Amino acid sequence: MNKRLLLWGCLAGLLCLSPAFIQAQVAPSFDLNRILRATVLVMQVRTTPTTSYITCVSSGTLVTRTGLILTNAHSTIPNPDCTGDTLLVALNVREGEAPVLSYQAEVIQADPGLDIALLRVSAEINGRAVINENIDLPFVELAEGSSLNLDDTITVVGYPGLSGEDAATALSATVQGFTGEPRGGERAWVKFRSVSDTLAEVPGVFSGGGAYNRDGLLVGIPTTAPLARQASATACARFQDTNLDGLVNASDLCVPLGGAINALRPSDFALPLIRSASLGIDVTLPTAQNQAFVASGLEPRVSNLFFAPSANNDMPTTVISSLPSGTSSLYLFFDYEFMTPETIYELRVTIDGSTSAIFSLPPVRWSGGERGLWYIGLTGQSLPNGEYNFQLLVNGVSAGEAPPLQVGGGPEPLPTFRNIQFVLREGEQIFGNGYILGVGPIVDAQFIYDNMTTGLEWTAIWYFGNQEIARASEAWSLGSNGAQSTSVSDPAGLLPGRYRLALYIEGRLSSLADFTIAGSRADARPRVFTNERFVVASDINEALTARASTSVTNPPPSIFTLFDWEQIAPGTLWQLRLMVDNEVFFDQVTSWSQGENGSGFTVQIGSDTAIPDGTYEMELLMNNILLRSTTISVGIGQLPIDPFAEPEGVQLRGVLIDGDTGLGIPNATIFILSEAFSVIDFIYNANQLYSLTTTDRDGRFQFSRPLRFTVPYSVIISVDGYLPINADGVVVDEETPNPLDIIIYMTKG
Amino acid sequence: MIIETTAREATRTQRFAHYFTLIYCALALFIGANLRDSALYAITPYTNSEVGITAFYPESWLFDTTPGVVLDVRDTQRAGFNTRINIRVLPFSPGMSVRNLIDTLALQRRIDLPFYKILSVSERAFGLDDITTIVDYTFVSDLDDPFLQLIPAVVIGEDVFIVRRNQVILVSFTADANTFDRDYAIFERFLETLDY
Repeated sequence: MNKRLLLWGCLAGLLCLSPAFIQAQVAPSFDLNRILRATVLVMQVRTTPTTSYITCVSSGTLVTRTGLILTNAHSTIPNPDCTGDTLLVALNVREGEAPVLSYQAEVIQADPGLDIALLRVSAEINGRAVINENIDLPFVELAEGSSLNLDDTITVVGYPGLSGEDAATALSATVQGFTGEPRGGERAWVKFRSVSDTLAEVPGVFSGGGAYNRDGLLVGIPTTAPLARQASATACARFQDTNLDGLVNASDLCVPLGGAINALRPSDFALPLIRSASLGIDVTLPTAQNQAFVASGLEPRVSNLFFAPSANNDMPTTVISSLPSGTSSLYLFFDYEFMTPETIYELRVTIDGSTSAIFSLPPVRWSGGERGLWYIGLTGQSLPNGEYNFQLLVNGVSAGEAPPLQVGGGPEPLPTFRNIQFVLREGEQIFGNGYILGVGPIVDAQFIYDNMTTGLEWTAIWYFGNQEIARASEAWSLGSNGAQSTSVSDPAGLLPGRYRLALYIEGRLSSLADFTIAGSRADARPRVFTNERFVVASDINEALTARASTSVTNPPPSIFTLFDWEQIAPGTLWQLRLMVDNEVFFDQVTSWSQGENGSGFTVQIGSDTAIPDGTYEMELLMNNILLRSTTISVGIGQLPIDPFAEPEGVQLRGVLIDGDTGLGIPNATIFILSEAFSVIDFIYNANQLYSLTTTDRDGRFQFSRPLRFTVPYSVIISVDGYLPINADGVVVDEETPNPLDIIIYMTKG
Repeated sequence: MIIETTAREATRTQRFAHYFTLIYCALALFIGANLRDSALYAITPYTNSEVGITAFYPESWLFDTTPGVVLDVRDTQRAGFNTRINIRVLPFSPGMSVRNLIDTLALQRRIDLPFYKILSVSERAFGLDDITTIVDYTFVSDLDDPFLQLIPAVVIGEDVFIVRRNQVILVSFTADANTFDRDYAIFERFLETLDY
């Protein structure tokens, strides 16, 4: 009788999965449990012949079920601050408990400047290799972080520290503003403030974790890059006897933890890396590797700090020393030299002597080139009145301060130059305008002037690199408002390279703009890159002589894209962008490292087997201006399915219990059949399975692969010594609690 | 007190009833034993004409599809490590020996299988004409799900190398060390049905 009751109990348990039951449940749309489970702790470890110790830690987020982890580059790629050689991943196995070291990982894609790295689980913690396709880990999906708005509520998730009880933690926060940079535009950083009762500040170990919007989609990566070299006692942790002297003291390695985080790197920057990894594509630049640009090795520095109210094509519109009340945009411009992707810089802003966390930028990696003009723009937030002081720190050391800026009062009608534009001219013929010009004899600079008065002394200074090449100074004789131009010329043609025009009024810098001369003059755009093409070849040598292709039917293991170039000065910033079906999977801005003229710059797009079908496109840019592009169609010319889409659904988990003893049944296998099959169709063929799992020593089980909404599944539980339990038509929908916990009683038979 | 008993012979109907009862019991036992055997030893035929292999594996074992493996079946109803039989076909050239294959496999398995260790290498008659090489080994099986508290199991395995012209058919049997001897009979029956 008891057994019969238990059997009915089991059936009732399975019935709980039916739509009628499930619809009665109210589920949260924001799946915090899944987010927490997808949040991992990444440890960089250094292994010596006698011991292993942790060198750096950060949070990370699983973004695919096969074990791709999105995190920071500074804590994973070996560098002077993080000298480890192995990456270990700790999973959030139990809610509210410390993470458990489970896997080794390797870096498969990274952008050190953007401080983004994509890791892949490569082995179990004991070193046993894993087959990624067989892994079924909880993961989150991404949304564009640039879609965030001011005052949006977000949830920031990561690990607060390294002590034993530090479990994955979620903190509520609000978007406070945005910080712009030339690389990334106005929303290169999203600034936020914690409004959580748990932690008033987001700890440094959260760096590399995730920030989620209301739909539970990953929109940003909380980021800071602590400096181990200069970490204070509170910003690092000593918990290992790294020198093996039997003591844990000041002479042991201090693992940098970093200070409070108030900035997110929007997830948009990570999408190309994830696409590339998901497609199994590897991009290499053999030509660049042969003659890599050699960093100077000099100490990075910044200079010439000034403010502008806005930026146009990454150039300041004008130079200001005050702003009226109600302003919501401010740009700090400065020159930089000898910077590398490993350089860490920080902006500290004080308003009337008080530090402003909203406007300050925590220590972050450098995402620009080696030298040039850079800006940090505060946008999307109203600037309170007061005196602003901006201080820049490079590698933890004060590197420059801008003159104080006053915000408040009404607009002051100061004499001003603004909006410098450049034009390449030969005689009366115009060959191009903008900030990238071809080689030619004359460059005109056109600018707008306001509030000028007769007799004011104004000066135009032209620079080539850092060297002054021309100067003109005279008393103002035109009207108060209008447009004016000045020019620089060289009958032999201006040399390729970076130029600058600085305009002064009465010795005060009023406007400034850079432009690049590269390539030969043509119509609207200079001819910098030519003969761009895709080819199909087995290696780089064959690629150099292969005929250009616009389509290939059978996807090869590699395709190459090549181009020639004219008159590019070494060190000039250029951008290479690769796309498949209009989705960017490679985007790199770097300094030109080849000679001024040449041919056969080669880019290899490769895969272990065959590159996926699709339409591939290469774009070549300078100063954000598209100069050339070319395409090739591979296979059917489009990705066969959306490989970036991941199914959403409900995670099923629970416990399998012996009805007589009440104890969990260990090591039992539970099957979920694909929707095409019912229980009666099952012939024990793995092709019929949607997923299967095995219970652990307590009888607990979980299916990592989520049940898709409104799809009818069949469940089979068959264990030696127990009556089998089978059910058809198991359906979940958006209203089903997620994860769905069930208890299943088995009857001995 | 005097007790008087009177013996009375069973009627013919009663005698037949006794006989039928005994026959029914015997029949029931026979059918029950048959049903038990059918359940225990029910087999599913497997044929791979591309490789030229025919075999019969236990009916309720899960037929898996593993890349590079011709046949892969396992007993999912078995608690703990699933007893497993699989067949792979490996290339074999005249300059090679089975020993080369054993070493190659060992190099890979020491990466894939924790605590992999070869216990013995021996030769054994197989079928009418063939001599096969048998490798017994052990390793620790650790299931992949890091979210479950799973106890690793000690596993014993046996590889049977059957040389066939320019190929070697590798038949592997793995089972929990605690049930290996009991389950080995299943493997022996499988080998008996293997036609190649």
